[in-house]
Amino acid sequence: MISYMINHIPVLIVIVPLCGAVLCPAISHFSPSAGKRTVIGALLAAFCMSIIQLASVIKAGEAFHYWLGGWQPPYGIEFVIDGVNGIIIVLVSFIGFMTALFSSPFEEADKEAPFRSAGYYSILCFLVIGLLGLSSTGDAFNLYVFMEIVALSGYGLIAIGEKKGPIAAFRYLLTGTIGASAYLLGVGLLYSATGTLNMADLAIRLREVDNMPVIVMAMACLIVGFGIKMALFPLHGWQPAAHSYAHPAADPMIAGVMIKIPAYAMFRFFFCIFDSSLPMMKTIFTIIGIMAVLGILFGSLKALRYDKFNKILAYSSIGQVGYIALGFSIGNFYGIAGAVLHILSHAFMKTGLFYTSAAFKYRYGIHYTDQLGQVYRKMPVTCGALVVLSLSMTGLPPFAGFFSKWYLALGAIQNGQYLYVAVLIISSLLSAIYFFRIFERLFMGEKTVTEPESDAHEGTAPGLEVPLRMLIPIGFAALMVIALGLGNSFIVNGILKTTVMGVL
Amino acid sequence: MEKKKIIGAAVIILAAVAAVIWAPDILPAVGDAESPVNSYLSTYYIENSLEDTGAHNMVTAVLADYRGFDTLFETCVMFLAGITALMVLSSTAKVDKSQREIQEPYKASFSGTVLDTAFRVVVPIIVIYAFYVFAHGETSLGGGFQAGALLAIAYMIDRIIPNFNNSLGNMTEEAAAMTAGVGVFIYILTGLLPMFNGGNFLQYEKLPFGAEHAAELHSTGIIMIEIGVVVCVMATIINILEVVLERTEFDD
Amino acid sequence: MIDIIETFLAEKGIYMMTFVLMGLGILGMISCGNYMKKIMCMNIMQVSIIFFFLALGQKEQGTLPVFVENLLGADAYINPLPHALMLTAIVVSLGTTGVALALLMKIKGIYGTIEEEEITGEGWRK
Repeated sequence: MISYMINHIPVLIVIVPLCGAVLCPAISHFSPSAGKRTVIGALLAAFCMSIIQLASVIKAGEAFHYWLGGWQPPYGIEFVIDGVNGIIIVLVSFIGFMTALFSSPFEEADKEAPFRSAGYYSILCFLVIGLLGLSSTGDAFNLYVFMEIVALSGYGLIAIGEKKGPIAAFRYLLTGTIGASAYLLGVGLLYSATGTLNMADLAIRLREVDNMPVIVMAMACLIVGFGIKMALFPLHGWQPAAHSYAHPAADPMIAGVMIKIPAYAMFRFFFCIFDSSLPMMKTIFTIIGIMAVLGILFGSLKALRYDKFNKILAYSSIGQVGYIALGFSIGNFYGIAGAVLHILSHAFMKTGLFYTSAAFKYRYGIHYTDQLGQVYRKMPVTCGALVVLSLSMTGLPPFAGFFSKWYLALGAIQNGQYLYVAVLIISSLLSAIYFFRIFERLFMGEKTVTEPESDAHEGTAPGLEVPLRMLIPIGFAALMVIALGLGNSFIVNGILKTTVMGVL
Repeated sequence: MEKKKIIGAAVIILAAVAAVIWAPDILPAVGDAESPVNSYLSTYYIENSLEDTGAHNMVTAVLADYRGFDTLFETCVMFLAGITALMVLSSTAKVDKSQREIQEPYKASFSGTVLDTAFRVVVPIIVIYAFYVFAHGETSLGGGFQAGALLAIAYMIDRIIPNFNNSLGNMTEEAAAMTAGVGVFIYILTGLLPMFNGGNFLQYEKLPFGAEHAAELHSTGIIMIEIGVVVCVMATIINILEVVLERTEFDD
Repeated sequence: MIDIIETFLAEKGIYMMTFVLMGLGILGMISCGNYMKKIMCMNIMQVSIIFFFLALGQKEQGTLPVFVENLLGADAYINPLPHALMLTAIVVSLGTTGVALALLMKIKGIYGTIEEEEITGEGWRK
């Protein structure tokens, strides 16, 4: 029975949370808090299954194919799980579960309006489902559908945030729709040249296409599409407002994971589908590299200008996404390993930082860094996590951020692209400046905040800074950053090596 | 206009011009039966879909069977859109209906006997037509999305004509969202049933019902998911309609 | 004159027209100041993509992809796949438009206007 279930795990990881998401409104009509528990339980189940799946993929040593509807590809849709997306699925389901847990103090079930909490959890769960599907699917059009699920739930979670949320969501909606349409056009162009939509089949049939302009045009469309979705430098316009004004509890998911998974999809297109030995691929990678370098410098410089905690983190994300794109443009094993490792480590770092930001908002209503003075006395665990995560962002060993940058630098040196190494170092110094400014205000600033009314937060047990359901995710994010830093060689050599080497 | 906008517009125009100039060279001619688009997957679907799925309408066969997983998430997009609209507007105050009822003389233009009677006749016909479209999705043109939209139109006519007294009953926005969720769940259940019988997700020929031919099971599966789609689409349209109507002040 | 236009459209001109339509849509989304107009331009852009796919699926002397008695063979029917894909894309664009309109109602409720300049003029960047 268990081995039979293992065969179905790739689809169950998506379907079990989906059942939770669609039934959440109906369940919470009868019992206000049961809908919330259903979603959290479904996400926990997805996380457990994703670990089993990753273990069995590593054990089998080859990609796992699941034919939906029993139709053989390319006639039907398939899910393809290999080492790289196996580990990304674990990441998404873990952070999804943690974020659902983290949100529960923000969205306490209200007997008067039970639907508000149920709707929030339903949308959050859809965001996780979309990201899981986006990383597992092996069909180009199916990827578009999942991309739209991610985008729509993102619009909802941004719009129900702070006061400027609706405007930020509306701008993201316009830009995101252009991105999705550009992606669809790119897929249409590839379809016109090959007649198929399955990714593996596309890769085979594109080798025989001698009509180069159509491939170039498709690549341009795909770069625009993925670039908008992952907020790559000149296409990042929607990102700072969206990440700053989103719902505080869902923000970790939006800022930490939502912009990383399109980057992984881009990796799949540019390395698994297109023939990377084509002469013009070099030009394409150089263009991506230029966008990445400009993005890294722009994001780091812009982050220096702001005092609002979320804005600093949002602009820093533009730079960090640049690192991932830089790894793809380097294009050798170390570059790609560094990029994938950076997807993982930055997801934990940025999610953890947004957790701490939301915890400050929850406890004291802090939005600006100059209000942070002496807060560490009252919130030691949160501020400890903040320090660990920030040091990892600046790239200090032994945290995860150092190792991903290390692999990127190794790859750049191997290719002789010393400019990229210089950019990596400069940007690390810049990020050190803006994070140490936060530290300065936190540890040396004057105390400005006042203790909130004691009965404002009933969920907080005595002796705790914030409810336990918020402390656990914060602690886990910090622990994972350390664990990823210490276990990086296992991930790179044990999991990524076989898959990435097979692609190159 | 701002500087940014001008730069953006210039880039768009350049890209569009480049695409327009290139397009004829790189794309297959319209109507070319030999192009890759019209020969590879297309031939397989046209030649095998009747045998594989038992559906006369090839678009239905592709949509509901070969690519049924896409359609599941397409239905989810509808549900998600409804629930997002509800959440976004949930903090906006509803228009007080009791105030609207007072302006009775204003409604005279809408509530003529002829109009009322006409709509009494039209609504049942629309409902019957919706069931016809739903049942014909498999053999000829039609399908779950259209049928759901028609049912929603019947409700909509019923809802927006004043003095019609809501004979179909009045759904609240929350109830509509829940119903849409149940509709998606019917679809998921259809997909999960074959897994208990040794098949893959959505593999209709492994549905645990007794039937002589695989094509019958495929038809059953398609009908079952279409029911889910009808429920979801109808409820979502009603959901969005209710969300908007409750918060709009009519000054007619 | 009409003949020239017909041959132009029948061969490859239809692709040009879809790209022109798409360019116009995106241009409108950038240059219009009114959010409602932006949504309309967004729809125009999405429709152009749908046209593009449907033009790909055309086949000369092909009929609707619904089986007719005694008419077999791949040449007799047009390609059903783009139609199925575009049904999905239409529903997705419907959902996006619905959410966009809900957001617009919310924005109108908060700011009292849907003109971009009035909303994001002063004080937005703070």
